[in-house]
Amino acid sequence: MPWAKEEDFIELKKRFPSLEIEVKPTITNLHIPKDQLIELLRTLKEEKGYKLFIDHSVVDFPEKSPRFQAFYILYNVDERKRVVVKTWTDGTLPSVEKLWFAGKWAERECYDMFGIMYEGHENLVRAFMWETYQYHPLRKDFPLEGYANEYLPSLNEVLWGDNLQGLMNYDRMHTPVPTLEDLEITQKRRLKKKAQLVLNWGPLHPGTHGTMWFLFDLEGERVVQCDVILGQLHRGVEKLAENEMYNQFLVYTDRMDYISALCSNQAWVVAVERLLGIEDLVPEKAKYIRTMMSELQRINSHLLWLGTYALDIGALTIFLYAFKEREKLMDIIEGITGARLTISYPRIGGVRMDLPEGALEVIKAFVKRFPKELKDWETILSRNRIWLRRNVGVGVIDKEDVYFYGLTGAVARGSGIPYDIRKFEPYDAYPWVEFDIPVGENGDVYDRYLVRLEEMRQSLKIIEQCVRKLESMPKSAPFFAESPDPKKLKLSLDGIGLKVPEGEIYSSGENPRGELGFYIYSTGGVKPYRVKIRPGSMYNLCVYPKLMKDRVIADAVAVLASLDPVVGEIDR
Amino acid sequence: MDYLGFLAFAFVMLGIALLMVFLNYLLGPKAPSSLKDYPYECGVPLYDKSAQTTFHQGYYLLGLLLLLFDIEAAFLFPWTVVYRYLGIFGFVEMFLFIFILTYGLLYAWRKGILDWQFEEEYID
Amino acid sequence: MEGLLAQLIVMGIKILVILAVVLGLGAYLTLVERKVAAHIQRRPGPMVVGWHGLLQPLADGLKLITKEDIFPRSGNRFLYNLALVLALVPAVLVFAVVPFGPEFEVFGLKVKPILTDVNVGLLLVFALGSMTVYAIALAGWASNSKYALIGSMRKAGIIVSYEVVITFAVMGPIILAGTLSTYEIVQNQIEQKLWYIWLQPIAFVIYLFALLAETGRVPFDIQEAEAELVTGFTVEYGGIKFGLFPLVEWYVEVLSLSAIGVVLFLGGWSPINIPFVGFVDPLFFLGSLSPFVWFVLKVGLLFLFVLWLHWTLPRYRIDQITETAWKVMLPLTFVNLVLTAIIAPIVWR
Repeated sequence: MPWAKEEDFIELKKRFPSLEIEVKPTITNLHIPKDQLIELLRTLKEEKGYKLFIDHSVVDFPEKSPRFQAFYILYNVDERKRVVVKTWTDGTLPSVEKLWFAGKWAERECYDMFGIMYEGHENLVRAFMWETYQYHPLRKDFPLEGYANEYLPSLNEVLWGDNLQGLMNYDRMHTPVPTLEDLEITQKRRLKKKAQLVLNWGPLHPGTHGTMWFLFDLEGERVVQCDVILGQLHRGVEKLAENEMYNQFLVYTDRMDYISALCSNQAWVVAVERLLGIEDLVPEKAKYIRTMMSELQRINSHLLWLGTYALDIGALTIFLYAFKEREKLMDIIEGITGARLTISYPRIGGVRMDLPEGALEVIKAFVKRFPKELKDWETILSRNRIWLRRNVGVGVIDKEDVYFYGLTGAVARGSGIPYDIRKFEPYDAYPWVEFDIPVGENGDVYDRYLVRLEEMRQSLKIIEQCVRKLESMPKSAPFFAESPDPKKLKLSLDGIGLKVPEGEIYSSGENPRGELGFYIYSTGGVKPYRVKIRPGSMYNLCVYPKLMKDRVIADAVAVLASLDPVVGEIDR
Repeated sequence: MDYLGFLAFAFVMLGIALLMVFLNYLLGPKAPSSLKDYPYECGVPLYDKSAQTTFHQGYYLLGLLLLLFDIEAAFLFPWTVVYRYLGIFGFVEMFLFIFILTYGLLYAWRKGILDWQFEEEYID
Repeated sequence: MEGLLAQLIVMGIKILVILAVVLGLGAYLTLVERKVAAHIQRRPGPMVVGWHGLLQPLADGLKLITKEDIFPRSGNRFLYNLALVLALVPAVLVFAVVPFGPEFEVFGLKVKPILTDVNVGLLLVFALGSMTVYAIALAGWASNSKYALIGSMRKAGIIVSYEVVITFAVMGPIILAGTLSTYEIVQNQIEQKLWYIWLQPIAFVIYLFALLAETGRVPFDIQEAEAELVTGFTVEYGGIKFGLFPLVEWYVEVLSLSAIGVVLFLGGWSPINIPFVGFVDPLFFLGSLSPFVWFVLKVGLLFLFVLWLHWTLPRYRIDQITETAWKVMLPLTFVNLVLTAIIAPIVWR
């Protein structure tokens, strides 16, 4: 288990007398009062080696005083240990911006969602909502439906005076909607113009991978400063999680990172299984199936990345070749799970249904054909002079930046740090399959490209092993866990009645995009009290302003595509 | 006579181009609405109200270079046509001319006119 | 009087032929490009409109001319329209100096299939080619949109750089030919039994690069980098005005510059050439149509090469493009010029 032990922090207790160490099977907490928080974090980062910033957020306890419990999750890459630092506050916190830049973005989100003011933060603006929005949605006193206090008639009424009665009569009061003035205020507060021209590389644009809104401060062709406005795809998933049962929340997880749906599903399911403690009850067949589907989805996601990346740089044909292979993969996934995009195939305790007849033969045929295609595309791209000139030396991330910005996934591996959750904290069938982790050297865009290509080949290796193992299993092997005591623990395919005991856990899975983590705080019952989703894409994206400083706009696409963000995961 | 053909062709093409300019106005629907002619800024309000501000002088320097080299090309064209009759004297003259040209290019190169896209400027 | 009337009629017919070929062929080349692109990408391409998509350009044209004329509210209307005129007119006018074939006789009248056979034909080509910069710069400025302005400045920078390169690159063949008239350059190549490409490989390669850059084709098509600037300087244009910019840039200009390239380097309308020995004509059975067919074949070959590059290669970054032009290609053209000046007297002897 990757949680830190108590003996690691014994000598810290001498320096911080009010430090409390709490070790549970699912989590390790360090409780500290607010005024010593920054000192403790700095000590952990610089002396104890907990350099990688994983997440920071807040849990709201309205009936307690102080009201908010803030937590910081840190990771030690060399010793492979994780720790959570907790403190209580009433509404203000010191900012960790100097220690980790990723903390700056996490703090913006907490300010937006909870209204916590951070002292020492350079530009405390809202992360997802527009600047003139008045409420803080994730507080417990904000209702799930929101406050419908804006009069918003339909477009038909405004333009043509339609007056709909009877069945078409609907409520004209609506939750607040941003106007053009609000958007203008938001963008002016985000970026203070220093150079000649500010360009909105905005939400409706074919080049950004989704509805992200970038602001470039330009001097001719050169970018002087850059900032990102997120929130165009914010759906309030964390608020919804507090009102859904654990298995019902599964369908939200695949709509977040819609390209690698199976991996996100798997990460959530594994998190709840760990919280329940039923990892050993899950049958072996289900674990192998989940691993295999996850790896298929990883190839799928990397193919999409490759296609759009080549398209942005200008090699238009690779886009279509990659999508042709994706179609084959999606046909396989549809045949097995029944859906192409929003899948929800894993369940808490196993999978939804068994593999159909012939699935393994089709997967074997795909695995045989795919490496040749990949080699064909590499001859077009990897040694191409223009490709090299566009990609080598662009967007270099060094090792210290990986820790400072909380980067995970292929971005971290491209810079030389072999950070892969599948090896560090294995789940499902990953301890039993053999695969390598490709690691890059220079940390530029070209290295990340090579890392992802090699990951596709490693995924093929894993799939082969899973297929061989699944073929050797009897057909009647169970695919869903059997509960030893149905009165205490009710496990069913639809998840109704699944009660999770009190506790908390942070567990993550290796999405193709980075590390997707779930911090679940449960106070018993069928619904979680707080779910914090740690999006890999968001912390990967926060290195973008630094990478774009003093570069030409033409590199904006290459760098963005190499970070591979998906807005559904960033905005949740 | 040939130039007459050219002129006639130019007039015909001018007519076609003017037709193209007004074709959409003649044939298209007219349904103006309040935001239809808002300048394209990816769906959000403009940060800078007008784009017709000053722009980087690097482009101007490229234009200056074009001017210089085009004038030199204009001098070289007659030379290329009659080179056949000029003998060694023509060759030496041209060699010197191109040498001076290259020197000018090297000067521009060293001064950084050709690298202005990545210039490090101090902006505060 | 008789002679004058006949000449005027011949001129009129030539203008009509060139218009039909250029505008009609230009429109159909969009279909050719889409089909070639599709087959490279392993898909069929336009198949619905007409048999195998043959009526697709008509459908596109009809759609474009019936769109609403939206003008950006803070733009400059006169410059906006002037940019379009300046883009279209000079690009098509280049075809006035392109010789399609040798002189032939019809109804007792000697007709040269070239509209303007003047002894400064090549200068006309470059003069007209330089007007594209005006069109692009004005289009970007008049639209009063940042995207348009950035795109047009980039494009103008590239075209300006490659204008110089192309002007110096063609001086090699001019030295060998000794004339600026396009018709006579081809005649000289036929008389000397030599396609100038054999003596000027460097110049040919540089000419190809400059062709790709001037017309905004991959790998130099930063204009069409949808991922960065959507459509660059044409972002505020709609309807047929929007359709005309790529038509002129990508098809008409590629055709005209390929035609000039064929004239300068590949011997115009002559059949396959064995240097210093003679010509071999596999298409001799076509009789007097053979030169025209050869010309079309060669221009088509260059066009297909340009298409092939488009759908295979990624695109360069703007500073890499201008850097290459001034630092690599221009010195190469100087070297080429000096070498040609040394070699040419040897060839003439």
